[in-house]
Amino acid sequence: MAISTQETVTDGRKAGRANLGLLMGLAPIILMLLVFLVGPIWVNFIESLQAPDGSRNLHQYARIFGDSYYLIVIAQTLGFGLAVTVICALLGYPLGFALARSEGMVKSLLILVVVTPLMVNVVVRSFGWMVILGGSGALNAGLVALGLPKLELMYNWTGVTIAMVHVLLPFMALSIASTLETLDRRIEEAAMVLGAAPRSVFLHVTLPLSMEGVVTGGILVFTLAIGSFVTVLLLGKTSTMVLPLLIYQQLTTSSDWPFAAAMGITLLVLVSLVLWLQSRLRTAAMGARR
Amino acid sequence: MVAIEVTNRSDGRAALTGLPRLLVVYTIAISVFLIAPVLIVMIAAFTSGDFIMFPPGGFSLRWFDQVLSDPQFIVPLWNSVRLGIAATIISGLLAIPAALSLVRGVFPGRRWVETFLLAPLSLPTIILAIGLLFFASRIGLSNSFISLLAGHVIITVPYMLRTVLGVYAGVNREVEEAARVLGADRWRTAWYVTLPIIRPGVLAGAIFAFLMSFDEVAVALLLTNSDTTTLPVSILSYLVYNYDPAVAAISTIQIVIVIVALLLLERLFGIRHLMFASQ
Amino acid sequence: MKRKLLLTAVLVSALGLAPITEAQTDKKPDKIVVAAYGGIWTESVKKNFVPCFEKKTGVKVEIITGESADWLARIRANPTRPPIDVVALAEADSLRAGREGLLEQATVEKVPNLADIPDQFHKPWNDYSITQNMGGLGIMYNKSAVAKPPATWREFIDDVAAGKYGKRVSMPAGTYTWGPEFIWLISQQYGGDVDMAFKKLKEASKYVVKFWNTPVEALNLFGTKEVDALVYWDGRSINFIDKGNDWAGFTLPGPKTIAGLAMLSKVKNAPAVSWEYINCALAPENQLKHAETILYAVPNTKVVYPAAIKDKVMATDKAVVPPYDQIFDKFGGWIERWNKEMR
Repeated sequence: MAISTQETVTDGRKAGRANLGLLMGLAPIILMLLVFLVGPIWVNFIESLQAPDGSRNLHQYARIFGDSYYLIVIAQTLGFGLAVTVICALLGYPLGFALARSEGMVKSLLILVVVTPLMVNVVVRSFGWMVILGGSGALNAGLVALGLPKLELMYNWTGVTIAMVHVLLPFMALSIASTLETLDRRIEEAAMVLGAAPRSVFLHVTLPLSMEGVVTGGILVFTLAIGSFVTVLLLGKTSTMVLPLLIYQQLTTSSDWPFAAAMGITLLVLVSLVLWLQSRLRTAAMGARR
Repeated sequence: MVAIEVTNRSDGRAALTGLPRLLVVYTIAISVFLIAPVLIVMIAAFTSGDFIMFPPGGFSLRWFDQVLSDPQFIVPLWNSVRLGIAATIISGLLAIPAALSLVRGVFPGRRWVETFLLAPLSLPTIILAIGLLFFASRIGLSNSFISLLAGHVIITVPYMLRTVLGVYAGVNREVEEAARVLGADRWRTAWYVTLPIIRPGVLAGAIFAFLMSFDEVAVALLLTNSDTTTLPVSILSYLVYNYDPAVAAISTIQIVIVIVALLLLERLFGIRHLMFASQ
Repeated sequence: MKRKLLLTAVLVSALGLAPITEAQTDKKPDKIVVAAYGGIWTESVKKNFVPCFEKKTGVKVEIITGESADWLARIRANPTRPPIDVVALAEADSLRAGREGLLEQATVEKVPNLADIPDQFHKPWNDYSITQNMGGLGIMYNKSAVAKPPATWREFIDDVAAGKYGKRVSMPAGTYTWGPEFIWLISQQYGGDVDMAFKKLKEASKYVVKFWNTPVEALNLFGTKEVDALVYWDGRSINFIDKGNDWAGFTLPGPKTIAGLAMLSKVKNAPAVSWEYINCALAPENQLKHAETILYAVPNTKVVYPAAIKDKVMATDKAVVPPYDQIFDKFGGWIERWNKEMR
């Protein structure tokens, strides 16, 4: 929607100045990233070309792509990120909606509640989950008291997913809420006045207009889910392997930085590809709608 | 999905603002889910026993006593607060103008620029951290606060950028145009018209940015020195050997600080107005 | 405007408080930076080693906490101006750092107390690193569930694989810092056959609740009684039992277990006065105080443990230091194999 809006600038001189302004807005952040992001990425890239025999080639990348184990882990990582994102979107939309439409003290309180998971260190938070999800933990104690069978909630994908959704839900809910808040309510009201049923107002007006918030939340949740390893380390087991955890192992126990760097660069490329693709698809979808 | 209860057909606004009962029940349930693990940690902080267990052993404040008198935690705590604030402010100064330019600008490669600016999200922080460690030493910034801060800004800036983008993309540009027509220059328009509109995104981004920095451990582990150690690093180091409710106590203090900060924001600006400006 | 001022003020104060790091001069440093694990380790360093060093030299000690891999990365990144002067790397990292020329060799002239440290605790590292203390890997068990603790490692692994403990066991993962050493230990029980070690561990894995990656996570499993038998370090176990947990017992299975070493090294280009710190840490009286604090055995042969801790601290002959120079090049392969096979 932003694409077609610049046309009103009519005279050329004005357009030139507008572009200069644009450049000034973007220059500082691009400069910052060129130094402190591209620099470290470059260091890693050079390191990833280091083969064990001392030569420089793509040996480390061949190790990743020539071994079905690493391909499975990459697929697992992307699948896990996608699952967490979808669950967060489904759980987070109504929450973001409630957040946006509540008022007064309730709203302030809700904001506090929503960011609660982010207030505690990831290791400590994981220990909190162990107390709840463990074999003789709070949840299973409750089930047993009710005469129900125990559930295996920890040391598998279930536990890892629960804990990950828990900490990433705030990103989804707040992103959706802030978009819903800037949404012009008069559009909804107009639809109502014109006789649309509330459900259809929601489906055809509110939901499409708040999709930008879902996208924001989705990007943040997906990348965070794919990039973190502490939760997986503590609540998962050997088979719940994700790429960042392998990277961590290579950097710590194996002390194999070249291999770790190659995996890091691979992850960077894959995730950037996903982000670029969604941006492209979104533009295409908007064009189609128009 | 959410059935909106119609109380008064003629007044559409009232029908939408009164939250439907189902949504209220859902919100309470999900709130319990969000709070439960954190609450367990907070309760464990008040135990008199030596372990984090549930139900906790007896009541005592001994762990708070220990933590509050221990510079091992208190100094890093303030370091973290300072670092978080600095990273958040710099992220805002970098990301907000960039987001405005991205949304309003038409130029070739716009999508590439956006993808590039969000790239820090795609890089695992441990890889960023080790790269930054060696890069900083190469450019003569080793062991300095600047490289630590730069690392945190790189990590936090995409959050600010993306939340502002998310909000600003949906803003009707007619308002800004009206201001321009009425004679306001570019900067006045941005300051008095655009900024107030995008405040919800800025605040959401600021909350994310601060909390991401406040809990960041990979970069901090490699780029802090004994003067700049952050709280997550000292918690992690403590956890290498000890597993006692002192960790729960310091976490509880951490939670209280974040809540106080948010309440202060609410008092000073009114979070709900700052975050949700359009009403 | 007021807000702008406020923002500026916050920004300025946040940045202004940034500490300025000064360059390290080699001649007369005001302080040296010593690496130590957090919690009780830092406490022991402050209490038992630092006063000796500061009294002798008048130089202050600054402690930096973290873990072996982090410290190694830091000195690798800044070899000419190392951010750490005395580093405490794990065994394998010590070997790597020594090979890469990041450390300086100790001699009896520089560190007189080195004379009282047996060869096996510094020679395999070419004197680049010296053992400060050692842990012995053993089994902590719940007395009410395990009537007779295993006498040997082989008996333990076979019993676990046979389901005699039920699914109530936890062991270190091959990916833990001392995980490869654990794999080596198991292989020694089957004639040094690593394939056999993996086969046996795979059989046992059915009954393993979790292969632990961090010691604190392991203690959590045992403390909350999710497991009855936990493969764990002696000092940590005895500390746990001493805290009023009489229901727990600890045993060091035979024939010999492995020693996990905490090592001290002087980083290359660090001020020479750093040797004095290492000498203080290896002095018999300070070694004893350290053992009393942390309940790990210390290598100095002049140390005589008093009755109060004699039974708690492992006798040096109960453990063996794995032959790192022969096995540590295989660690990467073992870790990869662990990830692929133990699923």
